[in-house]
Amino acid sequence: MKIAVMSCIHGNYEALNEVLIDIDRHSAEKIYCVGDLVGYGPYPNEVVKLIRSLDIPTAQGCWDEDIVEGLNACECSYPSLLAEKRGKLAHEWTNKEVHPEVRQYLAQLPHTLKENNLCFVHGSPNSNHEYLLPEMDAFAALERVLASNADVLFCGHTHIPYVRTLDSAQLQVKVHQPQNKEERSISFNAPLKRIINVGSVGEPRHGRPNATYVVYDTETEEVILREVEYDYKKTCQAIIDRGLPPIFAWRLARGLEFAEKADDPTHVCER
Amino acid sequence: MWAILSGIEGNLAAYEAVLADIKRQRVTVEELYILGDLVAAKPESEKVIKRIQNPLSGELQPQVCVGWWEEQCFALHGLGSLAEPTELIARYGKQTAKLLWDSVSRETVQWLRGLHFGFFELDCLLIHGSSVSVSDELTPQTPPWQMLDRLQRVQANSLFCGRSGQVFECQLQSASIATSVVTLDNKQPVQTVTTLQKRVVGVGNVGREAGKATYTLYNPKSARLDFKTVFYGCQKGFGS
Amino acid sequence: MIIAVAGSLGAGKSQWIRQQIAQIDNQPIGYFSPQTDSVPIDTIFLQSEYPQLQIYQTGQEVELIKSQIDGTTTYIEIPWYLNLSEIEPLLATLNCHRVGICSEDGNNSELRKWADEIVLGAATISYLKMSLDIYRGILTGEILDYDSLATFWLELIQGAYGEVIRAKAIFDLADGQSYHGNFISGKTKLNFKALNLPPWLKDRPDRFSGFEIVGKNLDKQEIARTVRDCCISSEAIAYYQQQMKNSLENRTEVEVL
Repeated sequence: MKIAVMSCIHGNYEALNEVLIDIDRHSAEKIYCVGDLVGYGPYPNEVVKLIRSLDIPTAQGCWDEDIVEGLNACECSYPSLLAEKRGKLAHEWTNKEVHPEVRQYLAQLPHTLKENNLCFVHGSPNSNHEYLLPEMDAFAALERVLASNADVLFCGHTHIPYVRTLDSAQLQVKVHQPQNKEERSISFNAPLKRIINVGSVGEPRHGRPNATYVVYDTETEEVILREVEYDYKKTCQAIIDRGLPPIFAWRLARGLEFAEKADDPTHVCER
Repeated sequence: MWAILSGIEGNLAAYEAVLADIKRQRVTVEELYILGDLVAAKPESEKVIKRIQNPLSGELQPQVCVGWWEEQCFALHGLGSLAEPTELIARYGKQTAKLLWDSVSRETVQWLRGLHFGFFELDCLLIHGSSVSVSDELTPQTPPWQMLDRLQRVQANSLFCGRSGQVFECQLQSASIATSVVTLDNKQPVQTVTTLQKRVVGVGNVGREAGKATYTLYNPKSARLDFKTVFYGCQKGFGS
Repeated sequence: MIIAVAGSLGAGKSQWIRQQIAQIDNQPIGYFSPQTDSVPIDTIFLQSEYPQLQIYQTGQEVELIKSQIDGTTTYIEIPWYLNLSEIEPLLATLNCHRVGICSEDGNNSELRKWADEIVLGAATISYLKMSLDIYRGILTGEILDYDSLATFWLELIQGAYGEVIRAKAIFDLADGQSYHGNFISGKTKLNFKALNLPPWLKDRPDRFSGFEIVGKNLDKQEIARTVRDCCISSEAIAYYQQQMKNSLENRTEVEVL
């Protein structure tokens, strides 16, 4: 079965529409979404409505959570003061815009979705604020997949799609406890695991304004990273018309994302 | 030589027994680390704090970091990262929460607030739980991938912890993994990553079990470990 | 000797003066840049590299003339936005040697007529002076967050706030250092260099920081707002300065051992 997985739509209705058309072309039977439906972009309500009307199973993103719970993203999850100030502006704007039923919908989204040997999260199994970057230490990356109890871990949050293969993992452990006279040696092996980051529909960061998502075939295990052009100028215009900071439009048009990523991949908010 | 202990849990007699045992060592102990859980829902908690704050002459000034019980105190007093002491109540019930409130004064809680989260010395992380949180309990049964993750979060080669109360040494000997990344514009070939020897050490628990305290001696030069068990007379009418 | 240096925007006047100063040994050197007193970016940059440099300000022209007696070589850097005729009365009284930094492709006829010596400088894009906006800001006392500044500067030079031809700046950052930023359209990339000045470790810095941006259709309001958003709060300044003090103290301990 072919499935499509997407993330980080961020109120970009134009991009979502075009991605849905592209998904149709690839005849994916099921669509999953790993969160961040709202935030930064000009159409939070419309995006949520479309996702709901199509009954797309969705995991909660950090922006979805923050709109429900109040701004809880810790300062340290912003890479800079400027990004934080911009993030707060976007949060306030979105908070004012979203309809009560949208907020309710976002509130009930689960942190994790599970389907056989597939797991779907926004950031990582630990937290929807944690970034699984492609350069993250391979053992730490493996630990995240193992923690999800799946073979394939789908995530988003970093806005740059990638497929990471983690194979032939081996670990030798020697355990010594004073009550047992002898040391125990244990060997651990982990079979092939993968992290698939599905990129971002509405807020790309790979240097081009196009939307990205992933098609995955559960039988052949083939992954296709999709990059879809859409009329980003429409979204840029809407950003300005609807009173969001014009710099968001400028950055969107260049595939620079709005606020940049946090640089510590393992940082987890302790609040 | 370092002496590393954890989990006094308001048991003054146990702490005294360990201090006495440290003095008896042939090798001089140069640093004394207490990895949290100085207090617990025990009336003697205050006395333990006073004893730690005021070492006798000739005794080492202990280096102390926060533990799980301290974190519960912060939550009770509304000073911590948690809004409610939910973990405490879920685990021990409201009665214990009340007892903890009565056992540790606000003044002491303020003092505890000033403690470190953990210590990083040489290539060793000394901490109550792990680099994730005070509640993170590492045991010999913890999946080794998880242990490796806890070490790598802070780039440490050794992690000394006390949450489980168990005494153990878990050596992660050889580890390897083949990894490759494909992005929209790039296909990185398979790389094999290996890691050097690392270990997680459970330093034991001083006060939880009456009459028996465990702690750890560590020589940072030779990286040698020595687990110590101290049996001591149980004073009547206290604790368990 | 007094050497007056003129040239178009980005032709390399400061660069040339730096090269000259570097070649002079054991001789007093002076520097004066008329009409830049409020935003003395080049002056501070040169002074940080050559602390012995004697700086003259507007109103110190008499001292400048007097200094010639003891054999000082003084460079007068004439900013591109100043008309050569405006500065002529001063130059006429000084009897100076005139160096024109010419760009290969630009229209240099006025400069060639004015100069005693022509130096071939960097190629510049020729602009009509009138069509350019100049936006200057003084940030003295402010400390900026490095990552925020990097984001802002990248946006700025890539045109998010209008077309930028030239941007130069001095910023105080959270590590206590003063940084010099210099951008010329088509030539330099993101480039910040720590100035050779003592680190500022207590309270808000009492030394110049600010910027000068030259371009077309500059959105000054957005630039100002964004720069403001990069500035660190007083509490954060105190925190960073404490951290620096701690690390400096620790370093001393290690040295003693």
